[in-house]
Order: sequence, then C-alpha cells, then structure tokens
Amino acid sequence: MRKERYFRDELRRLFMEYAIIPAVILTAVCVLILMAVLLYGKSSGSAAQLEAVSGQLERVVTGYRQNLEQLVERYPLFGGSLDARGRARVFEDFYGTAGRLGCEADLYILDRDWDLLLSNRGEVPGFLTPWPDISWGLPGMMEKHPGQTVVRLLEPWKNTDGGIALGLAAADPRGAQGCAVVLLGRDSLQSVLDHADTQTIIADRFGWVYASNNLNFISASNQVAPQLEQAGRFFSYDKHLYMVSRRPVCDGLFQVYVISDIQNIVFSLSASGALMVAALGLMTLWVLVSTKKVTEKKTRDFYRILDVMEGAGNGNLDSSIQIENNNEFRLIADAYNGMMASLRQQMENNRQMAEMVAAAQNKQLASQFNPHFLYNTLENIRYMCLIDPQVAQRMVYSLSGLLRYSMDSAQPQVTLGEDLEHLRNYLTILEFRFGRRFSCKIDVEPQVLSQKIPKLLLQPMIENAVKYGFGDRDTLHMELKAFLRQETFVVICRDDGAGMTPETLTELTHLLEQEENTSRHFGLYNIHRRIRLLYGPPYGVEIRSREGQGTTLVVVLPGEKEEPPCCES
Amino acid sequence: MRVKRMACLGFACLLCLAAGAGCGGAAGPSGPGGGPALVVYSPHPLDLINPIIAEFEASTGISVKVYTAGTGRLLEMVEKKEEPLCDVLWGGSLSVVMPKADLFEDYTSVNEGMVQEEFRNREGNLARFTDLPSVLMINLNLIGDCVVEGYADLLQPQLRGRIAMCDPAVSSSAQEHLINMLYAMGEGDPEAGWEYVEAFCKNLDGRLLDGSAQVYRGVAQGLFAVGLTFEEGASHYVAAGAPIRIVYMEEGVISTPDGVYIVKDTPHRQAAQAFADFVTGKDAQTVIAASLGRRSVRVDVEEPFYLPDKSTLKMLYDDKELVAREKESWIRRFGEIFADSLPPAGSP
Repeated sequence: MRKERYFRDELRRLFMEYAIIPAVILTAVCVLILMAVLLYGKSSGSAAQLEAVSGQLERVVTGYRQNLEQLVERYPLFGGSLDARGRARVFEDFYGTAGRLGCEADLYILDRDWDLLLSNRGEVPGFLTPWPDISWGLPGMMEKHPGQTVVRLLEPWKNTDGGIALGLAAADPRGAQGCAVVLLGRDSLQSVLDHADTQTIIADRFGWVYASNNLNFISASNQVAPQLEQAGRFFSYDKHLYMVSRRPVCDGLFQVYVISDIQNIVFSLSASGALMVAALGLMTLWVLVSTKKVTEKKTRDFYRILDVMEGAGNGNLDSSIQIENNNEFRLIADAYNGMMASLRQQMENNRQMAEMVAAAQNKQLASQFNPHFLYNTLENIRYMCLIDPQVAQRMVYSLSGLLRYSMDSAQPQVTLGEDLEHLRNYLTILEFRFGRRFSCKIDVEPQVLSQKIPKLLLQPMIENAVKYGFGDRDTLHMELKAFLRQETFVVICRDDGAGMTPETLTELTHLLEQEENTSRHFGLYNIHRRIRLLYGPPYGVEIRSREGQGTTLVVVLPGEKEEPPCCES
Repeated sequence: MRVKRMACLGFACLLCLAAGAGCGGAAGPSGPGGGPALVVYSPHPLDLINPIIAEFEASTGISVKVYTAGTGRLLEMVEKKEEPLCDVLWGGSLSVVMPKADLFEDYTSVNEGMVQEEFRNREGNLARFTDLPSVLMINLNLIGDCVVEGYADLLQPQLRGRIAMCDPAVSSSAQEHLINMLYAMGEGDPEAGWEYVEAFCKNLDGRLLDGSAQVYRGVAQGLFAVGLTFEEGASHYVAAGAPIRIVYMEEGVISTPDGVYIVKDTPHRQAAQAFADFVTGKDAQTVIAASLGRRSVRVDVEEPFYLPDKSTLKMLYDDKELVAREKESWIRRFGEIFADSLPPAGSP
C-alpha cells in the first residue's frame, strides 16, 4: 500500500510550494522594495539638498567674481585718488552684491605695495601680508596670474579663520596697479547648511573643508575623511551606514558632499525582514510537522473507502464504510453502503427465489404425488373403468398431463394460457371426482392469455379452495377470472365455500408478509412469496373471505409482457 | 515547478537590481585632478603641516594625504608597509631615522646647492628639512628667582618634580636631549655623562611624560616650571608673547636636523620628488622660518628674529655613527636609571 504515501506527500509538497515558498519570496521582495523606496526617498532628499547648496555656492562665487572684476573695471581703486563719495559708491556696489546674493563677504583693496587702501574691516588679514622675495599663498597666486581672478580656499592662519578668497591683481581704469580681494568667511554660507537634515560638507578639490554642519567626517587637520572621499554611493563609517551624493562646483574647484544616515533604514528593515523570514521558517517547520497529522486525518476517510472497495474487489461484500465526519466522503460512503446493501439484498432475493421455485416444484411434485390425491384419483379411475371407460380414459389422460406438466423443469414463468391448460386437466379430474358437487367457471379475456405468470399459480389456488372451501357443505362453485386493469394484470379466484373466520383471515394475511413460512399454509404463502420475489411489492396475493360466504383470492401482477428484472433463466 | 522557477528568477533579478543600485564603485586614494594622491607620513604639528601642504597642493595641483603620528610609530608603519603605503616621510629627527636609512631611496633635491654645509645630504637619501636645536623652556611666571642656564642648573632642589621631561623611548626630542646631556655633561665623552643622568632622573621625582607635545604645552600651561623640548615647541609661545623664555644650554647645544625622506620604490616618485623640492625650496623655508618658528637649513633664509643666531651659542656635534649604534642601549639604560630612581613601593 505504498501508493497512499505519495498522495499525502503530494499534499504537503503542494502546501509548501504554493504557500510557504511564495510567502518567503514575497516577504523578501517586499522588504527589498520597501528598502528601495525608503532609500530612494532619502536619496532624493539628499539630491535636493545637494542641488540647493551647490547652486548657492556656484551663484555666490560667480557673483562675487563678476563683482570683483566690475569693481576693478569701473572704479579708480588703486591710485589713491578715491574720495569719500567714490568710496561710498564702491561700497554701495559691493554691499548691493552681498544683498543680492544673500551672502556677506569682506572686501580688501590694496595698492601695489600691499598697503590697505579700502576695506570694510579695520586691518589687513594675515594671509594678505606680503612675503618679500617669495611667492606664497594668495598674494603669490595673484602675482602668478595677473589680470585673472584666482579663487582659493584659505586655511586658518595665525589669527584668521580663512575662507574662500577671490583675488584679482590688475590695473584700474587709470592704470594704477593693485589688487582687490573678496573673502567669504566660513560662516557666510552657514544659513544654507543650517537648514538641512542631512550632513553637508563644502570642501575644496584637495579635501580641505570650507564649511560643514557636522564634524563627523572631518579629520583633525580639517580635511574630509579619506573614507568619504573614496566612497561610492554607500559607505560605512564608525559602524554606521551612510549614503553619499557629491557634486563638483565652480569647475571642480570645490566639492559639495551630502551624507545621509541610512543605518536605521537598513538595519530596521533587515531586522524586520530577518524576523519575518525567521517567523516563516518556524511556521514552515510547524507546518511540516502538523501537515503530517492533518493530511493523515483528512485522508483517513479517503483511505477507509479505498480499503473497503478493495475488499469488495476481493469478494468481501459484507464490510461497510464507516465515516464519522459529515463531508463528501460521507456521501460516497453512504451511497456505496446503500449500493452494496441492495446488491446483497438482490443476491439474497435471487437465492430465495431459486429456493422457492425449487420448493414449489418440489411441493407440487409432492402434492402431485400426494398419496391421497393419487389414491382417490386412481380409485375414481378404477371405478370409472367399470362404469364409463371413456371417462376413465380421459381421467388417465388428464392425470398423465398433470404429472408431465409438473415434472417439466422449465422457467419459473409461463403464460396464463399454459397454466390454464394445466389447470383444466386438474379441474377435469376434480369434476370427475366430485361430479356436480364441484364446478369451476373460467372467465378469462383472450388478450391476457399471453400474460406471463409464475408457474403453478392457479392450481394451488383451486387446491386450497377445494381443501378448505368445502367445509361441511355439499357443493363448491368456483369462479376464475383474469383481466387487465390499468397497468396491472389481475387474477381472481372466487369460491362460495365455507370462508374463514376473521381471526384466520387476519392470521393468514399476516403470515403472507413474513419472509419465512412457519405454518402449514404452504400453498398460498408460496404463491405470494414467489410473486413478491419476482416482481416485488405491491404485487402479490390478497385474501378476502367472509365466514359462511366464501373466499376470494385476488392476485395482482404487473401488466407488461416483458421479463421481470431479476429473472433467472 | 514552473512557479518555483519563475519566482527564483524574479528574486535573483531583484537582488541584482539592488546590488546595482548600491554599487558605487569605490576608487583608490586618488586626487580630484584624476591623478593619484601622494601619501605623506609626518610627525610635525598640524600648525606646520596644514599651511605647507595646502600651498603645495595649490601650486602643483598634486593632492596630498597626510598621516600623523610619533616618529617611531611612523617608521614602524613604513617598515611594515602598512596601508596606505607611504610615499614620503616628512619629519623625524635624523638620529631617529638614520638607523633605518635603508628604507629610503636616494634623491638629491634641486635645492641642494643652497643648503648649509653642515646640513648637506651626504648620505644621499637623508635630505634635511629644518634645524632643531634642543632647548630648555622656562615658564617665567613659575621659575621665580631660580636661575637656569643649562643642564647643571636642572639639578637644583627647588626644581625637583617640576621638570617636564618626556620618555626617550617614545619621543625623538627627548632622545635628542639624552644624547645632548651625555655629550654636554660628559664634555664630549658620552660615557662620562651618565653620572649626570642619574642625578637628573632623581630630580624628576618620578615624573616622566609620554608625548613631546605634553612638554611644551605643560610648561606653557603652568604645570611645570621648566621643560626639555625642541626649539619650535617653545618658539611659538615666545613669538606669541607668552611668558616663556628659551634657554640654550650653556654646557652645549646639539642641534639635530629633521629631514624629508622618500620611501624606497614609491609608485609616485615624481610627486614625491616635487614635494621634497618644495619643502626645501626658498618659499616654503622662508615661510617656515618667518611664521612657524623653525630654523631653515638653507643659506639664504634667516632664522626668525626672535631666535638667536647659532653663532652666539655653544654648539656641540655628536658622532652620528656612534649614536646610531648606541642609541638603543642608551635609551634602555635611561629607563633602568629612571626606574631605579623611583621611590620603593610602599613608602610615602
């Protein structure tokens, strides 16, 4: 019975494949999608910040560069010829730019000897102190590129914080040489950085930091941490995971970094994903364990049916399927049980029928060879031989016919016509025996002669009537009718004999319905039982009797001329 | 089966997508100009490193990554070829570096012709950078009327426990002072100087610092009355007008230069040589001398105005070979002497 294991395992495998594995995959997919969505959200936030800061830096640097060049072009800055009004105009121009860009700066105008001519500050800052004979710092750069604006990030030096310096060494409209410097202090762009929820760093191309809103990624020497500089999109620092976006500004002179902490996202999503997978793993284990039991329970009914059917195949027809649950298998079981019961019933019926026919035949034989009947008939024949040899001949002829008919082992059914023939023989003998004391009138429609009836139906009825109908009377008249009524074929055998007491009638009627005959009223029981076996209810024999008036036997048979379903040939 | 296979495929695709999005492609240490960065190890203070490096980058466009630590540790890192691989060791007193001179390759800078005679790169791979005499740093507010003009004065009882001295095992400036002591107090014979060293250790009263910065900061902050340090450590405070005085030991001052050394088989030889040229060039040396309180090794750069000319000092010269041989054992001996000078455990 190894086959049943495959079915159960199939069920479990199906469950795994279509429930657990999709669930795991779905979880993983969901976690990844969620992580991607959140990271995308963070990244677009960072991108916006990067955009804002880079844009502002670009604008400010470009704006001041243009302003510086304009100032040198427009005003006679270096010759010392600038009066109070002139200075006012210069400052107006400069402050106007500052206002427009939204970013403060310091202005320094120096002459060719590096003396301070004009400034919004009181003193020359350290980085503008000239180095005699050498080229160093911003002054060195300006001298190397005369006429061009140089941009440089200055480190803290002595007492200054440094910042982004734009310097231009050139000649003013009047031809005087000098230089103009704009310094963007480290807090000039602080407002842009302050309103960010991400860490932003503005550094120059070598990694020196100009401004930032966080010190996490800046080394002790004020440079961008190497891990950040070398990072791709994501990098790990100090046990945290970060996402980086960067952009070069001002032709690569500066780099803006925007760093978002995604440790929380990654960690919490990974943790919850792992938790879900662990939960699913546990569920899988539990399912593996419990599906075993569940499929066993569910398929137990199924296998019970199989077992019984297999037994039936091997010949065991008695077992029935017992299903407790009220499900589809119960329906199958009930139908099967019903079918087997009716099969058994039918087989039993067939067996009984065969028995009955055999019994009837035997009995008939027995009755035919009833010593009393034979003795009486032979006496009559002997008597007739002396009185009327023709009658004696006829009696012998009838007797032999009777014996031949009853010994003929044919089907359990004959036509009415045949049985009537046989009956005439019997009646002839009876008439010869009883003379005028007995008469039987046969009233049969011609079309019913071909109707099939159980063999030896009529004679026992007459015999029964003769045996009990006379009683203490002299005469007995019988009437035999047979006709078709609607779907049925009715045979009525009426006598005007002694009749039965109501008790006897009740007893006899009750007896007919039994499945076994325990009385000596064998004949009627035999007929009724055979009819029941052949045709089933409601066909059969009905007894009507009134004491003193006579008995009527009503036999109802089906009206078709076909073979009954359970006929044996 | 088909369901499973398709699901696995979809899963794999998603993983690839995620990985692709995450791929940033980390680059190696590289400069923004696209060229590789120069890796410089330096024991110098940040005040010196930052301006020099910034100017070097601005004028040459070469990006530099600086890693700072004590000289001993840096030499160890060079020897063990730790990541990131060093291209140039900038700084480190000659007496500390000379025993490991085989780690560095020969290079004669373009400025060699302008270097003072005594600081010429005789060995070929040990170019000098600045000149650092060992000095005594006095906190004028704490010294009172105590007179300190040299090593001998450090043995005065009122200075007991108020002397800032670093452990020679970890600091090269302390090592220089040890060598200086031995030569100065031994009158040219280092072996004769150990008697002084023992007396000196006793006057330390068990206090020995483990970082050279702690010496000059300690004196400046008033934790010690006098400290044994190198000139630059003290000169900043003098230039800033703090109540600090620098004393050049009357018994004799040894001035050991530090150098700029190019590591053997560096992959960025050109950049490294450019760097060596830059830091020994007139511009850088002038700025260092004028603003950063160090003495240049060049003939054409004056020392800072607030530092005395070396001709006015008693200079001593040690035997470099001898020092290179004996240094380890001298440092160990000092450690033993100092340990012996400690009060025995359990006594008040």
